[in-house]
Amino acid sequence: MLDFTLSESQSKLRERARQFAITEALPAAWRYDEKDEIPLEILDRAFDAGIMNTDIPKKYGGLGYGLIEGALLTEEIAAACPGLATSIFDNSLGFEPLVLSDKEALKEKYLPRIARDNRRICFATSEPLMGSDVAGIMCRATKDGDGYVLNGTKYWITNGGVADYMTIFATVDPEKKHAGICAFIVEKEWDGVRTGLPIPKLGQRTSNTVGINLKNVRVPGENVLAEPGEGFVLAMRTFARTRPIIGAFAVGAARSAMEYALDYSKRRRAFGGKLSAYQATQFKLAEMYQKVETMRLLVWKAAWEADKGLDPTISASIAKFYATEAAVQVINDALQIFGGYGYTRMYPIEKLLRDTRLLPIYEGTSEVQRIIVAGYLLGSYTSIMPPLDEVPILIGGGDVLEEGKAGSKTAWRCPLCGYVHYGDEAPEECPYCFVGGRGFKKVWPK
Amino acid sequence: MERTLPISEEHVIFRESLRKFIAAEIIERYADWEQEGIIPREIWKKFGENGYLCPWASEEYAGSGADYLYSVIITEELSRAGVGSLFVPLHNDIVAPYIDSYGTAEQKARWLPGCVSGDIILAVAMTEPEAGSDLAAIKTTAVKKNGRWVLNGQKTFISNGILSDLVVVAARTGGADAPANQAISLFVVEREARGFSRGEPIKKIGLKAQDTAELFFDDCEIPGENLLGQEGMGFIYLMQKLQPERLICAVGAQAAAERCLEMTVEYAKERKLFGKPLSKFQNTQFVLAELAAEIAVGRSFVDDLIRAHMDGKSVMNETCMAKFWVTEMAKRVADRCLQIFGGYGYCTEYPISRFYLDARIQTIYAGTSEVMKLIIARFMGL
Ligand SMILES: Cc1cc2nc3c(=O)[nH]c(=O)nc-3n(C[C@H](O)[C@H](O)[C@H](O)COP(=O)(O)OP(=O)(O)OC[C@H]3O[C@@H](n4cnc5c(N)ncnc54)[C@H](O)[C@@H]3O)c2cc1C
Ligand SMILES: Cc1cc2nc3c(=O)[nH]c(=O)nc-3n(C[C@H](O)[C@H](O)[C@H](O)COP(=O)(O)OP(=O)(O)OC[C@H]3O[C@@H](n4cnc5c(N)ncnc54)[C@H](O)[C@@H]3O)c2cc1C
Repeated sequence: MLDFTLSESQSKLRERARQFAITEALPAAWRYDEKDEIPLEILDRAFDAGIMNTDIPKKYGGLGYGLIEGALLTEEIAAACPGLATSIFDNSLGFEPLVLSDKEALKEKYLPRIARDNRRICFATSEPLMGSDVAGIMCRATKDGDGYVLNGTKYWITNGGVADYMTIFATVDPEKKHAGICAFIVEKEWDGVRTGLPIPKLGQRTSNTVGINLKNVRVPGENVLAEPGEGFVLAMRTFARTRPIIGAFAVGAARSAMEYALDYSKRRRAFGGKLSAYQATQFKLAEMYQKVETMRLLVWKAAWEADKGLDPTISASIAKFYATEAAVQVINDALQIFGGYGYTRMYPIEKLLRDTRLLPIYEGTSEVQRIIVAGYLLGSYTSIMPPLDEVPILIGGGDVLEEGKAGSKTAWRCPLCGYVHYGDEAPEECPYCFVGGRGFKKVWPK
Repeated sequence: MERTLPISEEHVIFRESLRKFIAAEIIERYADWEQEGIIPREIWKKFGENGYLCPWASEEYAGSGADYLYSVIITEELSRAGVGSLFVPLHNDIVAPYIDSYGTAEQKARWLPGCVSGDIILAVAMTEPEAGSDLAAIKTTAVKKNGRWVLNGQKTFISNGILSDLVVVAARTGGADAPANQAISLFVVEREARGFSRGEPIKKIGLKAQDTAELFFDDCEIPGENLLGQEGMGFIYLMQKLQPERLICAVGAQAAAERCLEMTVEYAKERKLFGKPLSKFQNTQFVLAELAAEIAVGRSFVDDLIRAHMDGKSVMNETCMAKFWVTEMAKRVADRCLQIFGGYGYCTEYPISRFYLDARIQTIYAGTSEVMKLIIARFMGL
């Protein structure tokens, strides 16, 4: 069974997100981008509108939606402002490790506050000296009674400056790598927690990105989210669920760039015709749309896997690096169609480009996604085609496929040079490369 | 590989001192200028004092009669330093040559010394809100009245639009139906001209310190002698000057790409992850190797064209190819280099982000990549 139909409630949710995107997010986007400031009141309105925290289970006061819903909704928000999509969605990244964990008491304590009281939570693995290599975390967790004491600096933390809670990944010993990584729920108000100035960045200026400094921060035992050795896996399981959403950001951003370019190409004239009349423009548009559609399919596939309870890791990585890279290309092409205007703030493309250029970098760079996918292929992918030395490449053998014809019907393949020998027995040796006949494999009949 | 151009010891010394000058006078203050969206005039004056403005101008006009390589060096060094908003190359190699080539002796004597000293900053205004790629479609008009010219119309995206003291303006002198190659003329509009005004600097994704602006001509009156060259010849003049204009774009883009690669190689060696330098991962090596190869190809091509141009050859077609290919390459290089910087590449504290944004305009202005392809196709008889 394969079906792309949205349920009624999914359609309604998307409609709600679309409304919000057009009426709330779009008009605010450039103002806050210019101010380099996160629009907190819009986050509040997103909360009220029920398009935030959608994946908190109902049991803890949330809406209990899946990732498909998340993808539908974030595509719409990102189409209006990818930076705002980051800001709104960051809560889900922050509480995802908690939702995935088995810490019932912690869930009961924090999730309802996030779901009902509009508390914000951020997610922190990265550090100034470490982004991709999550096992290389240096922020230190030292055992202290039933809890831990944290010391170190986390960097580039989205919503770090505006969050009430923080999911902090640390290590009991950097030497231990994966085995040392643990995670905690830390409250902003606790002694020793400080957040830095917003980091000046190329785009995503409607999202807040800061460093977090932890100095002798005491975390009680009940706030331990993952014990040493469990943190790394928890972070990876989290990413497997958040990466499709980053892909959905890319779909939204690319879709709106495409739509704007489509509109512009029908208005703008050069050399006596509309831009849309020129094949160079038409082909660009066609490729943009092709990319938007493929991006979305990959994102939905990964989200669907997650919602089905399958492990979405690989599909999530594929969706993330395809969609985010394709989005940057689509937006670049759109900018080109806008000519000089595309380069200015008078049209929406330049901001889309700035905002979207982050997507192939955060939540695991494109390179990291390739490492994951390559690791899967080389490690556990099962091929469907027969091994190379068993492939029946029946060349030069006459009519072996026709039953009952005269002549031999058995084909043997040289393991080295690929020569195909026909006969009841393998040859003594290969007439081409002289390898002994014992290595020959019977490739026909099966 | 050593460059194949006739680079003398004087050129080398010139480059060194310019590099020091940029480091001392510009680099540190540049971020402020990006905030302000404009570069202070005094910097232009300093460029002038040091002989970096129109070095090719003849001594008669206070220039140094320098060869084209000096222009190349100035463009390259500004690009390499990542201070591409300083549109000295536009002044030196795009606008001033109009005056030099088509101006009368009187006009040259009046304006060129100021262009050399930095007292006069130049701009050229072709583009209009509804005519960019298609210059023949410009609507600004110039009409002769009592021995004076009266201009009406609007220009947009004019680089140095706010700072400029003299603007070379393309306007229609023939009727709306006359073919462009007979209907357009060039005028020199001075800062004080009545009826001439400018908009605010246009906010852009990059070139943030560049004062790109709209210009308005509202019954703007200029003296009869401010016509540049012959009436009706403007379009031809513009076409004639496109070769050096596009070549200088390629020269700048090439130098920026080279600098991006250098910075990224340095960074890749310093940044450690998974227990070794980033430069030791094969992907990093292959990406940088690919970029190095593209850059090397660009370098040969650009230097060949510089030499051909210096020899007075017409290389219009090849220059279009270089403008198209090298600027697209530079854009690609900046993008892939930014990616290697990871999260830091996205922070404006690192210059790579500025190179990335500044590179994006290169495939648009001075003729978009698509327009370059139109011309190349025409040369192929298609
Ligand atoms: C705006 C913004 C918001 C962010 N928000 C958050 C947040 O909320 N929480 C959080 O924890 N982090 C956040 N980050 C950090 C982000 O996840 C990291 O920047 C990212 O993971 C890359 O890490 P890095 O910057 O240290 O790059 P590095 O790890 O130093 O990587 C540098 C380059 O090397 C490549 N590379 C890495 N490993 C390999 C390898 N093995 N082989 C080949 N190439 C490799 C990378 O792909 C990259 O191109 C944010 C970053 C930004 C810029
Ligand atoms: C920062 C900046 C500085 C500038 N400085 C100056 C300056 O100093 N002086 C000046 O006069 N101008 C300047 N310009 C203007 C610049 O040269 C124009 O923007 C450029 O020529 C493109 O024109 P346009 O923006 O009107 O795009 P359009 O001509 O509207 O083109 C839009 C898109 O359509 C494509 N297109 C056009 N025709 C065709 C066709 N026949 N077939 C296929 N595709 C086509 C173009 O390639 C482009 O992708 C500047 C622009 C910027 C952004």
